[in-house]
Amino acid sequence: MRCGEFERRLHGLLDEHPEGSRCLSRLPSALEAHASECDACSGQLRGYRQLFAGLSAIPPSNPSTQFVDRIVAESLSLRSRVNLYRWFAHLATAASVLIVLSLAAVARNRSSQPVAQTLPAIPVRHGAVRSVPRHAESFFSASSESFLPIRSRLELDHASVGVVLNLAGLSPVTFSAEVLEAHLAQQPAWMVELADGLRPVTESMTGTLNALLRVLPGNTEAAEQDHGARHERHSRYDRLA
Amino acid sequence: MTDERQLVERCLAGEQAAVAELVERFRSPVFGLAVRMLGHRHDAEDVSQESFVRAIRGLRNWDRTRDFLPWLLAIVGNRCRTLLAVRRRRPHGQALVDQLPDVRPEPSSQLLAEEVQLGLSAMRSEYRQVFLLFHDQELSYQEIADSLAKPVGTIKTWVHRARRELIEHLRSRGVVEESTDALR
Repeated sequence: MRCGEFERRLHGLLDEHPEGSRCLSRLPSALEAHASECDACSGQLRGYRQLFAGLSAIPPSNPSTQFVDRIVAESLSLRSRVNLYRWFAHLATAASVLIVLSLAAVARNRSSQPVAQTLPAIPVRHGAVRSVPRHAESFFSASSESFLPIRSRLELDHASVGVVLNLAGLSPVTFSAEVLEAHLAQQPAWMVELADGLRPVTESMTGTLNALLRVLPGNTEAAEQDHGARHERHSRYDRLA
Repeated sequence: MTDERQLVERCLAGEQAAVAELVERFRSPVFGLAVRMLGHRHDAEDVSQESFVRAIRGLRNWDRTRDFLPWLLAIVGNRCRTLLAVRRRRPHGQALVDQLPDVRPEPSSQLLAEEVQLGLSAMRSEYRQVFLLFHDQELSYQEIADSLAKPVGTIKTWVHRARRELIEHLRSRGVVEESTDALR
């Protein structure tokens, strides 16, 4: 047997017997024979025997008596800390949800309620309109059920809707919620602008009409300058009424 | 195995007695490995405690299909290696073997034990860890490989190198006589 083979088999033996000492004390005869003939391998074998004797001679050590108690206490405090963190996490989540819901509610309220103070004031020229669309009031009172869904959708009061009706060229006779809705759906941007413009002035029909004339696209200048056109429009109110 | 799993389940359920039982059952191998790796009783106790707390905190990460001890000892070994790395960075080192055994063996055995401990403390922490897991804790190569996420071949190589380094250390310290003949 060569020394390399001896070392390889020695390692193989130790790989199979991790405790070391026992297997080294009862070597296979071939290894014993080589060790007895070879000083180097004999020295190596002695070294391994010393190593495992030394390893097993390291005294068994035990931790202090409070060891277990300390770990139990620490793991319990850790658990309570974790529970506390979880509690805080739940609380934070709940608070976040509450804040989001509150913000959503506030946003809904702001969009559903007239907020005149936050909207730009539209200058109302009293007296610029000579006739008042009286039919709007009467029409609304007669067809309130038809108007309700539109009012809620457009956030316009009844007077404004009456004005819109007239400006859109819709006759109260032929009016229906579907017709108005269909008409308004074709001009959503126009209606948004109209609704915004109407909010601060809807207390007055005259003011509303004036405001409408100002905000309608293409009518801003024309409404100011062309009294004839305005009279024509007002006369349409009268005809409708 | 099933018993270990039940014990772990009880620990996860927050049963204090189960935690105490777990620590009691595994404290000997845990502390033994820490002492042999660190060569310092107080550090070993700190590391053992920290390892147990980490293990208890991470019990859900333990793979139920494997044994508990290799997993636990891998945590201990890693904590020891971390501490050893910290020690290496310190300007003045601590005594490597400064704990006196409670039960003193024969002088020659004690000398051998101290030299082996000294040799262990001088070698690379990876070698030391796998050597102790294999020869002291008697885990199989496969268990060590699984717990350290290394190939079995790597673990075997490290154990073989650790043995050779320890023999060299014992020779250099005159514990084993140098052979006059080189290996043939």
